[in-house]
Amino acid sequence: MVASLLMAPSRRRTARSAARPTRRPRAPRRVGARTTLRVPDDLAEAVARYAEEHRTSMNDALIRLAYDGAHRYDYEYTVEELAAERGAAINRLIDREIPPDAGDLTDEETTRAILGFRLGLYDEEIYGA
Amino acid sequence: MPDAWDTSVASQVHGRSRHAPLLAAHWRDGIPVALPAPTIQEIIRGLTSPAVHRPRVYPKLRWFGHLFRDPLTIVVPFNRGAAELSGHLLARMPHPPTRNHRRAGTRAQQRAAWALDVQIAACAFAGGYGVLTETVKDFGLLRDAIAELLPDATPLAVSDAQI
Repeated sequence: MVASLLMAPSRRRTARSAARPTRRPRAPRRVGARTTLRVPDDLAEAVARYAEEHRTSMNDALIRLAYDGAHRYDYEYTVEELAAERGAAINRLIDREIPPDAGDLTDEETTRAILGFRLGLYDEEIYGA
Repeated sequence: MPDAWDTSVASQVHGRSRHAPLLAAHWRDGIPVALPAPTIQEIIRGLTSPAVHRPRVYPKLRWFGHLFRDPLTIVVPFNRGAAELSGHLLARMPHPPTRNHRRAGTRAQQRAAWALDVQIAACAFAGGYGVLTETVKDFGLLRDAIAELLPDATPLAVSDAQI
């Protein structure tokens, strides 16, 4: 068998391992379905670095990193969903039904309406809420 | 450098208005129309103001709505860079320049309009655009202020839309 970075180290005690000052703390036991997955080598290297840095097992490192990604995904999904819902509501402000007898502003009226507050054409203190 | 249109231009591109031929040329040649986000805010604000006759405004509101959603239209966002830059500019120049002329509107309206001009200039600058405007003197001051603040960056080009 070819050794993988994710494979658990041998449990055989050697002189070197016996000389280690402290043992790595046990990773938390989790509840959930067991699964087997192929971890790409480049990801396995990052997982190994994370495990070393946080003094935990490769499995635990993989799960923690997956949780990080899942939280980010959930965040983006929630924001995108809400943004899409609100965007559709904003669109409805423009797409409202036009009454058949609504008429239309002239070109000059349109420009005056848009630039009215810059040009001081109406007093917003009167018309404002 | 392509130009983003400020409100003085974008408010006059419908029907037979002064800058309608400019919009028509962009559409004909497939050239994007860049509108800074604050310009859109100002157009909608003006058209939906309680001072404007309500039912008659709907067709124009829809017309501009279609312009903003047109595939050729690029909304230049008020993003982080634009927000930071406009903060610097407003701190330096909180009041609109008067140049010894009385500006239209109440003082509150003048300051609101100036804040929008600052945001439009900041959007255009941060977005990689110049500004096409009828108020060249005001945007010229903003161009100079940006150049003073960021001497190493490519300056904001300000083009005169008066015809």
